[in-house]
Amino acid sequence: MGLKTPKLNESELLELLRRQDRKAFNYLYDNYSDALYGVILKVVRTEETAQDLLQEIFVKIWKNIAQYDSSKGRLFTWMLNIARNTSIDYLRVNRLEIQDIDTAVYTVEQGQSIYEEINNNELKEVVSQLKPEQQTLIEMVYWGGYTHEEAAQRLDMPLGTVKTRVRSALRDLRKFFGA
Amino acid sequence: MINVKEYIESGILEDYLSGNVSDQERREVDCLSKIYPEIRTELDSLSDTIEQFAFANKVAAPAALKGKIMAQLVFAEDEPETKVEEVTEEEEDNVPVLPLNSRGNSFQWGWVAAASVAALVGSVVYFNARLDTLSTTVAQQQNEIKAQTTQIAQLNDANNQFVTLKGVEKSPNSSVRVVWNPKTQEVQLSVLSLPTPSADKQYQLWALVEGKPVDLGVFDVSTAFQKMKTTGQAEAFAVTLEKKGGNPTPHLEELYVMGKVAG
Repeated sequence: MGLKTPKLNESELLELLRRQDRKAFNYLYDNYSDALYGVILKVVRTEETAQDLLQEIFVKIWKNIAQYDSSKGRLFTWMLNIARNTSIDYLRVNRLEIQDIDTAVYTVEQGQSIYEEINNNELKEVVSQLKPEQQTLIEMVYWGGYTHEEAAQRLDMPLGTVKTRVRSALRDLRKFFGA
Repeated sequence: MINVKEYIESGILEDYLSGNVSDQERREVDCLSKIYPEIRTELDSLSDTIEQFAFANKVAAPAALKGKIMAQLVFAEDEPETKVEEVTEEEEDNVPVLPLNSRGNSFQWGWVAAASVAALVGSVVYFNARLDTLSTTVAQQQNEIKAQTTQIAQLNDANNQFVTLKGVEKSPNSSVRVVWNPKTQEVQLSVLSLPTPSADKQYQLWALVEGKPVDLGVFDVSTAFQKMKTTGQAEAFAVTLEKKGGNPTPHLEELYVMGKVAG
């Protein structure tokens, strides 16, 4: 469901990436940039910042690709970690933007049209089965790099509740995706 | 021995994926997922879910961004020269260091032979892999030579007029060479010496036609011949420094070099 044009399998792609092959970058960017951009936009909320971060993230991915160890996990998971760490660094340096993440959270809580960009209707339907609160938790914790403690504080929930719900949100989501 | 089912249900894998684990817990998950296939499968399945969720929320990034990013990256085919240097360096590394004099025992010859064969096999594999890169370089150079040959043929045309534009008061040591072919109307230019302009400025070439300046385009400071706009007539050529992209009329106080067409 993930890749648009699965012409290369992951090990072929990695081999080409390690050789700094231009085609491999094209493939990587064409397949993953929109997903990563969507993630970053949820975290920082201003398009200008998200674009700067997306640039920084792809440069980091390119420079560090040799460090990716496929025995430890999926390529996207690794890229998402880079995206998350880059966004967190940005938010910590620019305290002003932390306000923006509050806005992001509230937008989701109020159930506004945060998902209007989804172009795949099937996926849209799947995601809409999640409670808004679960979506928020996934975005904050898995994308935004919030610790459980920070999420508990922001959402004014007991820590234990946040921990349980963060885990169950992912399991519910997996059920919806039918994985 | 751990209870795999309990371990999975503890929620540690979700916390691992969201980064909510200590370093020790992270190493534990890395290690256990290698030992127990069930843990590996569960971890991959949860990763997939996060990936699908991200794809469900994708937003098209602006098209211009890709080019901006690519401009910051180094690609294998961009640096053929460096690659060639690397070959030489690693070639030296490939030569096996064999301590023949210090330990001349005959039983070592087997190892020497083995090392040589290994080095040979290694070199063959290595150079085969490099061959692609090198043939790309050769192809690029052939193209360059072709382009230069065409240019030389153009420069050798009997109708060409060579005009050397000399520096005026503002910049006495500057000079620019213009090659103009009145028949084909082609104008080419090569900078012999000009001060490097600031980033927001560019030099612009003018032809004087019946006493009036005609724009022949802007150019960068480069000794390579650059094609300019064509002109069928010219009494003289001149270069002024203008804003980037050029101006419709020259600023004469920014005149750097000029030269009359012989005749």
